[in-house]
Amino acid sequence: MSQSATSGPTPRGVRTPAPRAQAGATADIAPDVDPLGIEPFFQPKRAAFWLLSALLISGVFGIGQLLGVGLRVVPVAALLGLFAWAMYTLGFVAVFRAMDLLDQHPPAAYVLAFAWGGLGAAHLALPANNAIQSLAAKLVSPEFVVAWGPALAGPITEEFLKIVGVILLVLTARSQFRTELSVLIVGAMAGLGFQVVENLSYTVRSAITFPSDSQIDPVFWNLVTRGLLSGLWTHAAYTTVASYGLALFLFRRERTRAARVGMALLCFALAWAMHFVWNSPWMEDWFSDGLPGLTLLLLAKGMPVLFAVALIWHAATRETGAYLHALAASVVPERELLRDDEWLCLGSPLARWRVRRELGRAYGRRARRLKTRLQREQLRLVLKAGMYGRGARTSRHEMAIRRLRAKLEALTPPEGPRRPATMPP
Amino acid sequence: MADRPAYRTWPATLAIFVALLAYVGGLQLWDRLTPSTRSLPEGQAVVVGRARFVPAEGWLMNVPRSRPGQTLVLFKNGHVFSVRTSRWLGGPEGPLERQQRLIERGRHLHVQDDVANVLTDWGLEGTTFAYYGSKVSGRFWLMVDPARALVVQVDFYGPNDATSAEGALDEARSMVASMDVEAS
Repeated sequence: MSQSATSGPTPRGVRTPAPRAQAGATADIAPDVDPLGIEPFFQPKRAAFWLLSALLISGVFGIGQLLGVGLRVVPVAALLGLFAWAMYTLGFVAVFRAMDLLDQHPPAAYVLAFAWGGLGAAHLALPANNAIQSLAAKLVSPEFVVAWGPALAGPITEEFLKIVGVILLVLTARSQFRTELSVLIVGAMAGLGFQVVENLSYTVRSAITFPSDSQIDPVFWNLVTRGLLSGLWTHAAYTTVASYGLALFLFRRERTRAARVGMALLCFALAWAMHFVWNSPWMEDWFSDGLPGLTLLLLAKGMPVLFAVALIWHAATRETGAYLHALAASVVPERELLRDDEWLCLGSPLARWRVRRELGRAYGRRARRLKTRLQREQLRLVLKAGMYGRGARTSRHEMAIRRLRAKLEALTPPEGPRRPATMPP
Repeated sequence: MADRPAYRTWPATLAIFVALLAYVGGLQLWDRLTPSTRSLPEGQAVVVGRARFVPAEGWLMNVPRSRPGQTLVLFKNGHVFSVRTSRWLGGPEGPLERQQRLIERGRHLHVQDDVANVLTDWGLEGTTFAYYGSKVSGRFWLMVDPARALVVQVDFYGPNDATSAEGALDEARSMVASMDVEAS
């Protein structure tokens, strides 16, 4: 079963390892694995599509106006901020891509999710947050708002609005969402969109009120504090948690409807609680003023969030891994396209990364890069074959796999690394 | 491609739309219906961060727009008197240029060319300029104290109603004249 990553192709059907054969048999009867066909996100006959579009267009104008004021008043800060946060977004996207998460959907899904977070949700959050803080000042006191206003307004408004976008996307093209991971990654992108636009808006506002003439310092200050020190455990993380609830609701069909609604609400409550703690003044007295104290405070508040999100990603990855195994066994039986050791690693980004690392250590960077591309093409082949069936849409991936494998075999001797360092369970 | 799975989205979409409308619109409506002003003790100085001044008679505090230690917004007959104190580490001209840019490019109003010096009863020095638009006009005072790394910004504006604007401007001037910083 543990074939070399670089040895010659095995003729189809010569040897069927028990787990793959069993998974294939399971897949034959599992309705989720049958190619359903996949819909684009352009669905003019569906109400969800139109609500999503209308709110996005309204967000374009609302957020555009905010940015327009920034460009007119503090043009250097606004343009530099735009560039800095665009680069920041690309960094996140590169990480998602390195984890092969972006192969779950066509690019339109990520663009729409990001746009929802940055335009739709951010635009609607502004008046709602202002109203909550204003009400708190009137009904309690302005002092209370200074301390607790962000914790009171931010979590409930923003978590609600961000998850609404994910729900609208699921409603628009339900068949695009086939695994828990596919919901999670869209949630993460919606959260990232909100995070980036909020950070840009803070950068511009901070440049207007910054205590010096510089328009560059506020950009760097915000990039460090809001981007680097806070970026891993804010909106993208919270929306991932809330989206996991939606994923559980959609895919845990063996549970009762009430239980699924309960799980979704629980995840939303967890996302809300994380956001509440982050925005609250709790723990601020424990740390000194200045950058070292601020860093420690942000780490103390952020690490539990990161831990919770890592657990959720892990759980969703396992579920998606099981789905991919079954799907691959059913739709890509050819071992020259997907060998048994590659099939075993298919559902585990970490296991695939370990294989790449081992190959890179043994045969150098080029081999590692080729293996990375090979793994990505295999994942795309399996996912697309599951969506559209084998045919014209998958043939370019099949050709790419064969080409990459040939190149990889030229780099590595036949006795190359016999098995990946770690196999997934 | 297989046939599109048949499912309706309008009930859920309608529910989402109603929820959004109720949440965002409802909060705004509730906020609008809740009174936002609070009276201030007559003749007594109020503190905004490191600055303090004596409010003129009849001016009410706009509670939601005021932030303790940072901003105090007063309100009377549609006229607004906003005092904001913040740290300032740059040159003395910086806040003036930035504020004029904000008024002209951000609020689309015209700044009058003449910038005059101002001296309060307590010896606080600063600059002032007027601005105007088709519906709104106002005056801005800026007091920069590089030694204290402090800037005090006072923005007075209201509708272009000649009868009430003149009286309100006089009261705004008297409030600025009563201003000082870090007085014990």
